[in-house]
Amino acid sequence: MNQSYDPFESMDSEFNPGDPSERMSELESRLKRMRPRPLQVDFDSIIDSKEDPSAETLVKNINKSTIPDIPRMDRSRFFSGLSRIAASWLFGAIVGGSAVYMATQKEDPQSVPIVSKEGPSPNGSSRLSPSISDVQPLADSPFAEATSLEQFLDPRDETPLQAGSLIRPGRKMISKRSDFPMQGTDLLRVPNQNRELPSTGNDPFDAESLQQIPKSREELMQELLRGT
Amino acid sequence: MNRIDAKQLREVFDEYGAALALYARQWCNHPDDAVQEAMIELLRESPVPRDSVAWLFKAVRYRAINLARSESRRSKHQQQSAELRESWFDPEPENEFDSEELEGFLAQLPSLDREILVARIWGEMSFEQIANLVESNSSTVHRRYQSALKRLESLIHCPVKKQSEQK
Repeated sequence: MNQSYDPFESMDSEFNPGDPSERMSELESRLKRMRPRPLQVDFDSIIDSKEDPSAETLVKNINKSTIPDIPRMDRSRFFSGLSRIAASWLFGAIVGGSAVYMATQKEDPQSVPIVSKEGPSPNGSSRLSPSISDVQPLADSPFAEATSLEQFLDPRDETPLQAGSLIRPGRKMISKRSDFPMQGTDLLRVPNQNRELPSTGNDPFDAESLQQIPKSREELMQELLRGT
Repeated sequence: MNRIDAKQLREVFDEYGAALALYARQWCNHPDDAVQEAMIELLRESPVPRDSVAWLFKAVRYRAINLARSESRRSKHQQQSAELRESWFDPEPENEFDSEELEGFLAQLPSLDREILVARIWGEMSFEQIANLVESNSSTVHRRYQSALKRLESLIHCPVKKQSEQK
């Protein structure tokens, strides 16, 4: 149903004043006066076809036929459309597969060198390969060895795991206490010094003093009086 | 065997032949073939349908749709089928409307509305008969007929709208 809003309806009413039903009936009568193109069929041929057996195949039982209102799409057009859709899917799969393949190849570190061994481009432009122009002078300089990644490697990383090492699931590896850098953290372990404290010789707590029998209070008072 | 006789068929042919052709013209470019086949079938139909005119319209409808399908298969280009089209109305100077213009107005209507309008005005069928023809109910057919008439009136009386819609 086309019951949509018609912006011209009010305009038409202004142009055609009067009762809408009268206007409609008038329009009906005007339309009826228009005569359709006459039928160009010989009536006698219809009457003759009544007895003609060849017309039997021409006329079918239309009451039993179920023809849809919309004519169906031609089969060739249907298959051509189907093949177009299939081709587009195939093309998309090929392009997508190649893109994924290229992406995975780029991610492989072995296939891409860190520093290109090729020289600069003949025209001298470093636009296409900026890494070459940036890295090349650094590799020739004496600082090249110092900037090597090897200096950042900890030699302890290369030592095999010892029996005392513990690995807790979900945590970092715990090794022996001696494996950790303890300089400056242990007060008793001063670097380049003996662990024992230096002796003054008058230490009342040295071994000899401690081995002596302690004096009684009276003896101490006598020593004091003697001294005075 | 109760069949329609030649005299009865002649009356139907003279009275409704042009309307049946106009009705078939909405779908196919050879409406005469559709009407002729429907007439032959009516001649062979036994017993005679109770409402032979409504039966003929229905038969012509199915035949025209069938013909349209075969025509679309034969003619690959719409241009070719457009060239085969004849004018829908008899061009006479005393006509109320220009034949081609009215055909253009009718072509702008929705297909079902146009079908109902043609069956009602030129086929002189009742709303009940048309409802049976288009497999709908009478009230819907009446409503669609009224809206088609309003739409046609607006197209006839509003040249600005006509031009914009024809584009």
